[in-house]
Amino acid sequence: MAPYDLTGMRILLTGAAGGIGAATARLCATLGAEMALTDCCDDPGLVAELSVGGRKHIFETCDVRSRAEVESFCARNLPIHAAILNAGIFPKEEWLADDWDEQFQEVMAVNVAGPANFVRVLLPHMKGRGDGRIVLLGSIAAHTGGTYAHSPMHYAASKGAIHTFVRWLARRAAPEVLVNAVAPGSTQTRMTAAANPDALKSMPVPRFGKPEEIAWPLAFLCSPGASFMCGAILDVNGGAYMG
Amino acid sequence: MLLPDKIAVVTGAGSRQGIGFAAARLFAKQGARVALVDTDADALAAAAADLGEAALPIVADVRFEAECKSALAQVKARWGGVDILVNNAGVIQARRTLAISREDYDFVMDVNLRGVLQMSQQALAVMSAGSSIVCIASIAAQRGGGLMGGPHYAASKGGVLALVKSMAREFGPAGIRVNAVNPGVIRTGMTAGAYDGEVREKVISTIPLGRFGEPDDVASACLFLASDLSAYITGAAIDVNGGLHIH
Repeated sequence: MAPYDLTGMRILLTGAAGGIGAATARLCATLGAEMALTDCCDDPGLVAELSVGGRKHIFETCDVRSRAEVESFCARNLPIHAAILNAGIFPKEEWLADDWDEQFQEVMAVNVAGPANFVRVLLPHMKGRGDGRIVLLGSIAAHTGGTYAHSPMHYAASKGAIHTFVRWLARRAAPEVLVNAVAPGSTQTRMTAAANPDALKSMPVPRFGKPEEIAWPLAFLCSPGASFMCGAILDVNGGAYMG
Repeated sequence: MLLPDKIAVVTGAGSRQGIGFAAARLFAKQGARVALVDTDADALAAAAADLGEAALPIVADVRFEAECKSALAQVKARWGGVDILVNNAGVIQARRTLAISREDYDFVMDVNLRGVLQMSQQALAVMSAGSSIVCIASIAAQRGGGLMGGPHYAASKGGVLALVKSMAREFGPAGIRVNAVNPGVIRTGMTAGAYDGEVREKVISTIPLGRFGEPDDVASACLFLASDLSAYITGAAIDVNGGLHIH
């Protein structure tokens, strides 16, 4: 599978229990990586499923909003060669709702501050080692303001923040650490379970994306095959948005 | 193997220092049979010899519709069809705006943009669902032409990006994906000697990754887009520029 071989890499993956996360964990392990997995819930059985061939994968719960928990998780799991910062939430509350302010803070804490907490710890570690990859999860929502009429503003704004974070971080992390992102479109996961598939019929690829189809771009960005990519945001959306 | 039994056509594949040959070599390693298209017969023969039985050298100038038609006909006659097209053939021409002649403009546009359209037309006529077209555009299209390719070069590559999106929309329902790669400054036969020592160092100092790219860096992105690994990607562009243009 060279140039996409991940043998010898230890990859940290947040949001590992979700649709995209689990698919990415499976793929990266298949490509040879050892996985340090985390989510806010317990391991849904990934470590047992992936632990073949002597590789030692781990799964620990970690609240990405907490700097202390993130620092502690990272400290226990170094070295890390690549980090895929996938954890994110997509609450659907209307912005006129009484508790919108609390929802906004929560979305920003998980979707933006969460990845920043990991970068704060991992960037100096990777720079000190002289190499590393950081892959962030953006979204088509950052480009379009939200795929559906009822897409929540706070989610779209949080992913816009991630796209800006990539651009801000990429130059600072280079040349040792390559920072890039994947911006998925509508992907078939728990997050989009309530979405109407009819809205996708006019797209060039008129269907939801599969979690595996997001996993491959994420793995690609961790691999030797992406060694000259820096600050790029890779759109994976079936042609729903072409910028 | 990522391209088992696939049939690929790569234009501008004659130079062994180039992106086209790097892509062809990588595709062949991943199981594809590859038609190498170029205007330089001697270079093509040497390039095809490097790849062995997996390679079919075809002399053709993408500026001319008849030669594009003949190239695809030869591939179809040899291997029965086409699954992948990499539109890599391209020329640079260092010019300032006021110095671009009509002949300069026509030459660059004919190779870089008309060639992409014509080869794509011929390939699309025989492609089926699951096929992929990869077009090599450029950082110059995104940020304006630099020292190597003039404004007309940048315009030709901007046209390639628009063509990619349009073809992606039109052929998406048929299951054919069309994407682009935007290389930054890549060390190839075409760019060798474009910068003298002092300018070279100055340009490198502006690249966050501190080096020019290699043809294999671009070839890797081509492989990704050509294969089923990118099955939900169409109308997109992968920037391979070492951080020289972050947007």
